[in-house]
Amino acid sequence: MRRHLFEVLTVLLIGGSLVFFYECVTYLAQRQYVSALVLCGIGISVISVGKELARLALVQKD
Amino acid sequence: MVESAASERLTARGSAWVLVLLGLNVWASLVILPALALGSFTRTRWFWLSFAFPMIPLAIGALRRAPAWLLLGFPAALLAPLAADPRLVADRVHGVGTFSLLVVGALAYLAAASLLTQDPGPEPQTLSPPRTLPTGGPAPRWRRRRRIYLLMVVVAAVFPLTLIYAVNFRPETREFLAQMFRDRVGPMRALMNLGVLVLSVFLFWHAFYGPLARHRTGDPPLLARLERLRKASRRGSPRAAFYVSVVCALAFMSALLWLRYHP
Repeated sequence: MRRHLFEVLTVLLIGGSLVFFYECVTYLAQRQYVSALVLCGIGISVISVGKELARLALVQKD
Repeated sequence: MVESAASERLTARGSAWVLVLLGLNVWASLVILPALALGSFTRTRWFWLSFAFPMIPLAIGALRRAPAWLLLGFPAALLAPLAADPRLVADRVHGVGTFSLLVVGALAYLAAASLLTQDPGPEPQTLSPPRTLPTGGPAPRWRRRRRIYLLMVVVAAVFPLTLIYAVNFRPETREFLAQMFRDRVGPMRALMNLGVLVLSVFLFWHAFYGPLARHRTGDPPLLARLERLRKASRRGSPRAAFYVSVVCALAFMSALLWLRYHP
């Protein structure tokens, strides 16, 4: 059960990080570089959390 | 013994000063001199907040002789003032001459940071009887290894620089960009420079370093590290990176909200 929860959260977080990167590109197009950098940081942080949850899901699977 | 400790302290202090001076040179060439010429200090308050930011990782890295702070933290922190005022790296700020000087300074800093922070290796065993060193210089295996290290340094410098020259300074490319993207030459060049960075890293890891890494055996510190990583990957609780990432995400979101409501 926990494994499936971790897997769903992983997909949500890694998929959700794409939204931040998309927004980052949008801000870059508007020449708002600081906001784009901050959004890129959010995207990377969210991906890291998703990656850690993916590892936990694999540990549960083993 | 006391003399040896004092000598080590002096060497460490000297290394820290060399690293700080070379880092200051890069910082001044890339940020301060263009900022003074373009008037960045009077233009935006973000620049005031960010221009000294790279000094933090440089100072920490030099004091602790930590490669991660010096080779990753300091170059990444240099992006903060550049993001605050992108004109610092805009077209025509650096000519071929000034850019070459900047490159020489950056390569000297990277070389010093790599050499002065390397692992000194295990302590010599004092219990074993002293042995005479073989004469005739290092063994062919070590000479070969040094040649490969030197070659890696050369390709790590030459490939990105050639691509950067082709994108930013080659007359044919400049002319082509001016024809194709009349009002968007700056963003296109920035995009191409990003492509150069990605391509250089990809080439280094997959074409130059990758094939050699498969043959690297008998490296006890590396094997011990791999074993630690293997054990850590089997642990069923989140690692520190998880909590750090959550805090970073929240902090970045707060910063974004603050930017939105305090433009």
